[in-house]
This record gives sequence, structure tokens and C-alpha cells, in this order.
Amino acid sequence: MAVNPIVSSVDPITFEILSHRVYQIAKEMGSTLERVGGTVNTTQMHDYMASLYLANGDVLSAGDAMGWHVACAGFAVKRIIERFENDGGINPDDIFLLNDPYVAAIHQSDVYMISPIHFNAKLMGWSATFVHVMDIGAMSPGGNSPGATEISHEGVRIPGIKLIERERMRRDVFDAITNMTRQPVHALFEQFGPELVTAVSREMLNYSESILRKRIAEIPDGTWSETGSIHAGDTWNVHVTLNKRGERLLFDFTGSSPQAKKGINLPYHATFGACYEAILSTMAYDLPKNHGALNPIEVIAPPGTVVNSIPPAPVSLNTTSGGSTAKFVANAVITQMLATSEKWRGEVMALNVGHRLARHAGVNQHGNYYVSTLSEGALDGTGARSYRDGDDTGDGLSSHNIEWLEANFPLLYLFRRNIKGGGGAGKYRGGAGSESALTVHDAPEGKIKGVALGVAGLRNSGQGLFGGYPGAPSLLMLTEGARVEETIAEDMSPDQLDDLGGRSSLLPYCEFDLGRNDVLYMRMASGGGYGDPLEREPQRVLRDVEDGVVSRQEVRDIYGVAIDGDEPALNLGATEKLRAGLRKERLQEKI
Amino acid sequence: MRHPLRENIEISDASGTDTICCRRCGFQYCRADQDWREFCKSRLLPSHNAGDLMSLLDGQYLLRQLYCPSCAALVDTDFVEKQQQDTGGT
Repeated sequence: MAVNPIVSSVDPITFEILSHRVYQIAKEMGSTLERVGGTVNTTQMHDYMASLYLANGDVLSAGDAMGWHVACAGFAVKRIIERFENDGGINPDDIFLLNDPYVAAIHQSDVYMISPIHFNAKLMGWSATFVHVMDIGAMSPGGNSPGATEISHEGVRIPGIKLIERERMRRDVFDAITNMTRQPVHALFEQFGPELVTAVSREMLNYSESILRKRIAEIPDGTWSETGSIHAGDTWNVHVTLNKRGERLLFDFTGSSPQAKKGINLPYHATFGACYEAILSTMAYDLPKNHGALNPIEVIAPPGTVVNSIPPAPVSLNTTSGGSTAKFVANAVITQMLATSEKWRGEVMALNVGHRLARHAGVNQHGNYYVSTLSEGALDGTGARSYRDGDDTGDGLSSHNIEWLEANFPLLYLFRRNIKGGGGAGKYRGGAGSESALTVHDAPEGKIKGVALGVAGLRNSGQGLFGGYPGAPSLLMLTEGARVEETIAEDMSPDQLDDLGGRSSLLPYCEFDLGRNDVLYMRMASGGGYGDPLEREPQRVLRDVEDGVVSRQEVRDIYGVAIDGDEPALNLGATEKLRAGLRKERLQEKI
Repeated sequence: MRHPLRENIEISDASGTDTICCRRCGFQYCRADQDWREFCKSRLLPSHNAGDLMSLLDGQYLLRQLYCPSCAALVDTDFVEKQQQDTGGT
């Protein structure tokens, strides 16, 4: 498809000023949303989205939001237009609400608020936000329902309603939202005029699209495939083949497993959004995030599969299962593709698919019923890159502050720290990841309810790249009847699980009770390594030992590095011999 | 002309035809239209060989590694289902 020349009708300086101003408005929308948010997901995890759209629903500017939701909210705007354009009308000051996964959302907990932007009574665009709300009337508290077998078990589904009608607006409740979304855009139209703003908007899309197409065209044509596994009782596979021809990318999910009677399924637009996000984070991270970056890609997902489910398949668990896996495989094939380009191979990194977290609900120490999130999943270790180690803790989201959590909920953290021996070995090591343990404390009912989420593949939890070892998988474990209170009463720190005793069991997707002297242990996935660990600089291995993130056994058996003494010291001569021996061993093994 | 395939493997036409080679020692795996994996030295190891925390996967998965047959450079590491290996699957 031919793309218009960059900035054809607007002078470059005006284009730069207005395009950045539009981006800044979207960014401010997100900041405002975070400040007025009422749940940990919005205020601390950054699990939200705020973006601007053109009058037809195409993405205009995504601010700093997650690409996944940016694409899905675009679908939501188009559904609102279809539904209300000739029936009910789209008026200034209307606000629409939508959370139906079989219309545009990802699962019911993700609620979109969509508002038209009019100037001089003409529809000029849309603002859309999403937050993950803490309860939606589903079987399980928090909305993610491990026991659901169809979508009717997973809470209210709203395919699009006019929540605020022009003449019936609850300004006391909604002023915060309307002020943050529409007024800056009005000022833009008033200052520069609707014609110029519209022209710049069009050029912003052309700009992103033309540069992305050029980048794609520079890479050798080819085909790459990847399979990810979802382990949730049974195993479901998400398979994708990426076909790159000229300046087009086709993601074909043919070969993925049939949809499940468990909420791991993704509707089509969520699978599409996963591919869009993969492009944004690899080849277009420096471009304006808009519909232009979406045009060069096509996504095929056969209906009735885990990546294009049809009603009544449940979806409430999909962000930590089907969604994580679709994003993983989409990024994996792009990584393989980029590795074949001398220009782009430096951008590749090992990938992570082990996102896990838990909801918790009950009566808190202040006597109020609550539902909230343990967002430890944001503390995954990231994969190694072609030129450096992964980050020991870091994910697309953020994690809650422990002091804040303990002040608001009846929980006590025993520890939160980096994992020893978790990061995948390699020339560059995967991020260590984190582990946390907590128990109930000052709970009026003596216990709380928990919901364990996320088991997107033990096998490729933190996948290594090009010889790099995989990172340790994430897991949730419940230990009942541990000696927690006794240990604390003895002025000892309860930071070694093995010393606390009790009966331990792994938690798949499930509900559970957390009572006194029970411990919830959450280990977040470590990142995969990059390249051959025998090529890692010995000095880096020594630093890993000093930092306590690799064991002496790993150092010797996997990295082939000799470190002597209780005060770790490198022995380079012995290291050379050790590595020669390990290489010899590799070739002596029978094929 | 050369272009990379991954960290330790590249495509080179130095011998007159496009050939997949080791970037470390120059060993020629195969022609560019063949699957280089079939020409690697391979080992299947218990999962815990990737670290103690991987023992969770023992019995269910095996650690498969592929090496350059000449210089023993590690070119791929993956987990494969043990059951598939036991029954001769791929």
C-alpha cells in the first residue's frame, strides 16, 4: 500500500509542535487518571490506558499506554460509533462505557470509558481510558474466576451504554474525567483551528506508518514460528507463524489449540492488540504510537481457538494466560526476524511469559470489606539482551509499596527480595526475578480469601535466547500451619521458608484461604539468558556471586568459572581449564 | 556477503553458495535452505542442569542443547517434553 509522503501538507515545525502537543495531552490524561484512581491497579501498578482517537476510531496518540489496550480501545470506539451513530446519537459531553470482551474489551474487569470530542458541534475525535476495576460481579472476588466455564459466570457484560447523556450529566462525579480528557483538546482546536489539527493528525499517522514500513522492508524476507504453552490443568498451545514479505507482516495463529472451558481465552481484538504491542515495543518504540504503526500488520486467528474465542467461552483469566502467551509468541517471532538483520540484531532480548499475581479480599484491620491485588508480577526479572544483562526486577507494570499495603490491608510481608539462581545463564544473564512471602496480620476474621492467577507456561516462563538458559519459572505456593508467629515471638526473622515448617502446596489458578500462620509465597519469573554462558566475562560472574544472584554450583557447572575462597576471588587459570573441559564434554556426548 | 541468523550462526556466501556457518570457528553446518538444527551436536539433560530452581520441571521436561560440532559453541537451549523424547517424537 502506498503511503503519503511524510508531512506533505503541514510545515515541519508546525507538525513537530502539534504532534508533540497531542502526545502530551494523551500523556497528561494518563497522569490524571493515575492521580484520581482509587485502586492499587491504577495508582501503583500503572495498569491503565489513556489515548486519543480520530473521529473514525483510528488510533491518534497512545501516550505512554500499553499497546495491547490501545488497539482494543480503538475497536471499542468503532463499536460505539456503529451502535450509537444512528440510534441514540453521539453528542458533546456524552460518555460511553464498554467492557464486553466479545465486543472490544479483553475481559470484563477492564472497563473502557469513551468520550467524543466535538469542536463547534462537529465530531473531531475521541478520548478513551481503561482501568482494571477491582470487582465486576463475577464468581470470584476481583473478577478473575478460576471456576468459570462460560462467560456468564464472569460478571456483568456491557456492550456499550451511554453512561453520561448530554442533558443528564452527573458533573459532581465525572468532572475529573471530562476535564482531563476534553478541555486540552478544545484549547488545541481553538488555538490552531480544526483544519490544521486534522491535517497534523493525518500526518502523524502517515509519519509512523511510512517509517515503520521502511524499517520492515530493510529486513530480509522470511518466515519464523513459535509455540507457547498455557498450563492450567490441561495444556493449551498458542502457535504463531510470522510471514515477512516486503513491507508487510502477517501473524498467522493457525495451529493454536481450540478454545477452553476455562477463562484463558482471548477474543480476536486482544490477539490483534498483542501483535500491535509487540511491534510498538520492538520496531516502533521511538515512533508516535498511533494507527499508522498498526497498518502494516495483519493478524489471522482461526475462530474457536484460544486466540479467537467465540461465546460462551470464558475469558476472565486471559491477561495472565492467553494474553501473556500471545504477546510472548508475537515478540518471539519478531525477535527471530530482527536477529537476521545486522542493523536490528542489537535490539533483540530474551522474553518472559511467566506473569503471576493474586487477588485478595476480606475484612481489613479497619473493619471494611475490600478487594485488591498483590501485584508482585511486576517484579519479574527481564530477559537478557544482545549486549547486557536483564534487569533483576522490572516489568511493564509497577508493583505496590509494601508499607502502603500493610497499612491498608490485613497482611504482613515476611520478605521481598531477588532470587538466587533464578536468572537464565548466558553470555548475558537473565534478570534474577523476585520472591516474596506474606501472611495475614490483624485480620478481624482471622483469614482472608485469595485468588491465584497466572500459569502461562512453565516451559517457556523465561525463555533463553540463542543458547541462553531459561529463567526459573514463576510459582505461587501456600504453606499452611507454619511457625510464623512463634518465630516472630522469638525475635527471629521469618525469612527462610524451610525453617518455618508447615504443609506446602503449589497454587494453580484457584481460590484459597490465607489464615493465621499460613504463608503465601510468590516467586516471580526470572529472565532468560542470552548466548553461551561459557562466553560470559568471568568478572561479571564474580560480581553475580558478590551480589548473591548465582550459586557457586552454577558458577562452576554452567559458567565454567573458578572462584576460590569464602571471600570470592577469580582464578583465571583454573577458569580456562574448566571451560575447555566443559566444551570437550559437550562434544563427547552421544547425539 | 554475510548476514546473521542468531548469536553464533550466520549465512555466508564465501564458498560460492549461501551456507549456514558458525560465527566463531567458520564450521559449515549446511546449505541455507536446510535446517541447521539437524547438523548440530545435541544433548538432552535433566531439567535441573539449568539450575536448582528448574528441578520443578524434572520428569516433565528435558533440557535440550545444540552445539557447533566443531568448536562446541552453544547455539540453542530449550526445554522439550520428556514424554515426546521417550516415545521418539520431536
